[in-house]
Amino acid sequence: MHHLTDEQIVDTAEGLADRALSAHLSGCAACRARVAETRAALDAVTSVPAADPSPLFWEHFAARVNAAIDAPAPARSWLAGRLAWLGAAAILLITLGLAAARWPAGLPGHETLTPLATTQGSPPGASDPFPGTPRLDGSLEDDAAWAVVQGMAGDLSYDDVLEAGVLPRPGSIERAATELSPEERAELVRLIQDELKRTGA
Amino acid sequence: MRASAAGDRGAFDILVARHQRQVYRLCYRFVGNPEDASELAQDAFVRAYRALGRFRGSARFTTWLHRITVNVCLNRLASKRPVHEPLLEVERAAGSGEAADVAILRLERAECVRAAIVRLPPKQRATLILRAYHDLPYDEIARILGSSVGAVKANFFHALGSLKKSLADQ
Repeated sequence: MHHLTDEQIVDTAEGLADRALSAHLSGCAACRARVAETRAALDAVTSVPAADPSPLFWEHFAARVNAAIDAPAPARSWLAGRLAWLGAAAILLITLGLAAARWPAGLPGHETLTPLATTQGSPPGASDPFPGTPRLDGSLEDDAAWAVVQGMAGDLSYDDVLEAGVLPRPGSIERAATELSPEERAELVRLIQDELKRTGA
Repeated sequence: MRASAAGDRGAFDILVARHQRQVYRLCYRFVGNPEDASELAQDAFVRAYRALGRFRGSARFTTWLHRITVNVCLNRLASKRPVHEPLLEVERAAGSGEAADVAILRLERAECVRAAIVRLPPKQRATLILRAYHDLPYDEIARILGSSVGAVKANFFHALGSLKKSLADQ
């Protein structure tokens, strides 16, 4: 039998080993040592008592929870409101900018739409990590800022990003847009139209 | 549960009273100081109250509440690094009849372990706390953390390994 896996070591340290594991352990000093170390760490953890607050704390805890439930949501400041819609506007503009970079000849469905250019420097038939999705054209691939973002994000795993607290929040842009006042929405439309005119998209 | 979801504050108070210690202890083990733990426990119950209408009963209430509490703690870690505060329990221990030097050694050891737990990566920390202190089965921990049983066991193993190393270094 091979040495015990990490999971089997944990099971054994917790006293959940089956007969096959026990049989292996009786003849394997290395696995016995790993189990003993894991068990010692577990014993050190479980020997730490809970640190409860005073009984008085519990007497008032439910009242504090109720007060927090009844407390009005913190009012959004004028600045926070402006930042929210400016953020939404910036994201929309970036999205439009990316779209313009990817579809230089027009928007999808436009009769002048041309096939997307392949990435500069990539030979025809080079493996595409995302088959079936359009490739970025050279103007964006060569962009220095985009290269920095790609370089920084290239080694990140999804779990790393989650653990760092950068949680994906689907719908947050939509939510921000729904929180805009009519005046703010009108201003956002004006900004987008100005940007579209300026870039000629 | 149903009465609480319908807005009955008295019923919700009963739920709070029943689960407050578990929730507080989970938060305390997570952040290592009573001020943050108290604030996080309160926040967990406020969120639970607001989400009660969406609780479908497909999971156990405690699993659902643990999940909310862990999320509240993880969100806090993302925005603010908790400060571990050593507890001064020597007077309490001395009152128990234990020799003072033995009590101090035991408390120092406990503080080392608490501090080492607070330094673990968030998911390992959550796994260790839920398994070692709340004695939850692996499948329930997997549901709380939105992960697989295999990943939970691996996290638990690595958490214990990190702790062992951390305690050996001290």
